[in-house]
Amino acid sequence: MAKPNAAFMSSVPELVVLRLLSDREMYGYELVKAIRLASNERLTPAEGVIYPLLHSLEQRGHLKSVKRQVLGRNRIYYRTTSTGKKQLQGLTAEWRRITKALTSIIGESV
Amino acid sequence: MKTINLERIRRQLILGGVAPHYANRTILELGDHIDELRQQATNRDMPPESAAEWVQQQIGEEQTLINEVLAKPELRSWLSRHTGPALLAGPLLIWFGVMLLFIGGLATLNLFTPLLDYTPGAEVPLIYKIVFEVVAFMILHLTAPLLIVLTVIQAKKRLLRPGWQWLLGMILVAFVGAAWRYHFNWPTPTEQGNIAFSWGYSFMWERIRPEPDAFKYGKLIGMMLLAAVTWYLYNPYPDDYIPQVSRDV
Repeated sequence: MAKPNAAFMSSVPELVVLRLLSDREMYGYELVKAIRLASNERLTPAEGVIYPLLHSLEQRGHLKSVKRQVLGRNRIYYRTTSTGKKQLQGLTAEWRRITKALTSIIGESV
Repeated sequence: MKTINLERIRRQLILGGVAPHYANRTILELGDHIDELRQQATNRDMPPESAAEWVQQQIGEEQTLINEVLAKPELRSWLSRHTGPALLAGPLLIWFGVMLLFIGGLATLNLFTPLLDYTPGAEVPLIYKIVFEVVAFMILHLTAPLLIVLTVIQAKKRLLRPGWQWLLGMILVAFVGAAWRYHFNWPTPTEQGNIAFSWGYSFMWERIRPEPDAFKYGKLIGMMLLAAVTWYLYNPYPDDYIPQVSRDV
């Protein structure tokens, strides 16, 4: 039986960040632009809230950060770790399961 | 127009129990992000007033940003959540722990080496004596001042005002640390060596002797002065802490 997942919607930003950072490392501003681009401007969160999410994912071992000096600025770049990739797989599978369930409820034509 | 003030955000985060490490990192990254957005606005030839408004819209409301961080318990440290009790009991417990380790180490050394035992005709090599005296001096005399300095640093990093808990914690460490006395008599070819430790104060005026009692009180006062000097000199967040970032959007 599938696991209940009441907190699923709150894990959507986590899924998006883990997915984009699994391709290449990015810093916050770059990541926000990548989210906008990848979602065709459909996902436009307040940009500042990306940082607590990045820190939280790093704290849980899903992201690894590295500080780099670029044009005289200290920037923190993030990338998905192997643990983060496993988490991403789980979240992706859950997302597919839920969208399939929702599609079967509301139908394709709505 | 509403503004985003990075200093205010840091203060709110730290006072809300977020570990200073994450609070500082958040505002450094936000500052860099704001600079990027400003640059983007400049590239689009936006007039300054609407550019500031646009940057504000993009980055989000100050309170929203603060709430997002505070909503993540993993960004709070145990010390940040229990600062008062930790700074009250922590230094004292660490001091006792260090002393126990030191005395335990001595006992172990005594068990497994003939260094401190009397062996007729044997002389302890000078290098052993120097190393031992230096290590003993550092542990027995410098642990308490070091813990006091670290307590003040932690309190200032967490934007604490002088409070009874951490002030009492420092006084207790200074009190136990200053009362500590030790004396080593190294074994000679003709005499057995010994190590003597003592702890205590003379509170009766007529019994106070310049050595060791006045020395102990001197250390106690010295440690309190050290705490005060550290408090006034140490600034964890100097004005140029956020280079290149204006504090208000």
